[in-house]
Amino acid sequence: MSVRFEFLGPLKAIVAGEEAVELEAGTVAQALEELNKTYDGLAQRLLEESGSLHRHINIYVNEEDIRLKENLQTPLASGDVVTVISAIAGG
Amino acid sequence: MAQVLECRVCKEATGFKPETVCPSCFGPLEVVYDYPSIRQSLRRSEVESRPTTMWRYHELLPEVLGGTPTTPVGWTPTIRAKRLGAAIGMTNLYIKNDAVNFPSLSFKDRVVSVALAKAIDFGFDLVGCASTGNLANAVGAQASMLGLKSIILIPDDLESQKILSAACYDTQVIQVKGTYDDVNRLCTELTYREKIGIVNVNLRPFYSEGSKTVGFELAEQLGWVLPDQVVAPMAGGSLISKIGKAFGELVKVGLVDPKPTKLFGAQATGCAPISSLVKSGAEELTPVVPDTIVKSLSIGAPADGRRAAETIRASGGWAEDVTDEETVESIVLLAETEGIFTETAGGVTVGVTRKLLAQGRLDKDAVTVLCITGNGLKTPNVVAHKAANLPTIEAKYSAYQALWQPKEVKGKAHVGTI
Repeated sequence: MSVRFEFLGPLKAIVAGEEAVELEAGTVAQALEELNKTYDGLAQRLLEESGSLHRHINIYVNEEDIRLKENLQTPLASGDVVTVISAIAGG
Repeated sequence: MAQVLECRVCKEATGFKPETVCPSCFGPLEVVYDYPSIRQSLRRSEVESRPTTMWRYHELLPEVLGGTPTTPVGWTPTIRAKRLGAAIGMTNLYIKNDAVNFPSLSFKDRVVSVALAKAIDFGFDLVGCASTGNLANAVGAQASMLGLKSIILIPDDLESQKILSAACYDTQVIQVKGTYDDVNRLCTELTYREKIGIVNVNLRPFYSEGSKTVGFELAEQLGWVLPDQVVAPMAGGSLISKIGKAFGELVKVGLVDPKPTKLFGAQATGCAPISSLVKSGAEELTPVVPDTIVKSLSIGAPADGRRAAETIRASGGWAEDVTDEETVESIVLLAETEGIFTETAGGVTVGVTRKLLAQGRLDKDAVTVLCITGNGLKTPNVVAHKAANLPTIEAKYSAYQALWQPKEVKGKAHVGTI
């Protein structure tokens, strides 16, 4: 089994409009590296120049914010759902 | 075109549409205006001749195709807070009191007024919000007034009093298991999968402009003069950023003279990602899991947090946070000295003001405005102890006499009272 990546809204443009992409990776960082091979420019749009997650992008592993876990080093297991979404607002 | 949506990061400009991020770089979108043109045509006397609502500044708000809304939102009192000032040691203290905003008693009425006007422009039949409470009431009330279908999504641990009125409006309240950040993520997903105008997601660039009217009004109410210092609560970080934008715009269009205003942000210690960012001087905000009674400020991953921190730093201001106990004490202090009953966010604002004063970061003699953003009737539980064990007497004058005793009144000498 693999990990399922979902890119929501305008972020779908990064993966050529796909609803979801399945792949195998041990961490979020590895997954992004892998995806970047297929989707040119993906890393550039999701990461800061320093290599950290872009401040306007949130990534959730099974609905948990990776910034509250191990950030890009958050481990992934088979069957995990990773959601990539733009930053959220106040209320 | 007089107004456009511009990406705050890459500066790419587009026309108005219900989107919140730049299609090119995913940066946040911001409404920008043709300031030179407004400067040529707009005069103080013209603004002063208009109805006393937030829409009197409509040139500096998103243009509404259906015409400028007439709902009487905003123009809340800015009062001189002499007795609170005396109690905490400030000589020029004012309160912008959005606890009495129309129709739902919080500053969120302002942002919703703009968002729903644009929702109608964009042809949405269904609107909604992710809310920590105040926004739920504002959307419920105004959607009911306008006859719009609406849904309100809230975290399932919200104070029940806060959503009681929302439940009575013509809207559907839905409790979501999790924190506000979970609710907001779901709402973001909804906008991508359904045809719905979520006021603080895909209508956010317009919604957040409504916050500027707090700044416009308090400048006009102070006699078209900017204050020296403003203390405002921070949840998503938008309000304080937009107050800064409002002051800058008033100067750009020539309605006030330039003046440096220091902006101070207030958070609860149990959810203080923005004040931590200001205090640490770090580049990036670290999200937190909220743990505080101050639900209206419980946003652990604030979208405008970094912008708020930058605005505060650039103004020469600062940010602080206070504990739940300090928050409750400050709610009571404000009620005792000024007769203003605020919810927990207001307690945070007053509490942080006292803390910043003790630290010497606030000038005690400068013209200072505290933004009170919500009404205490929405969070009565946190001060329920004040109404416990009230004296009960027989209906006899002797019983009344036996009970009466002088009580010290804060901010004044001893006054006989009961």
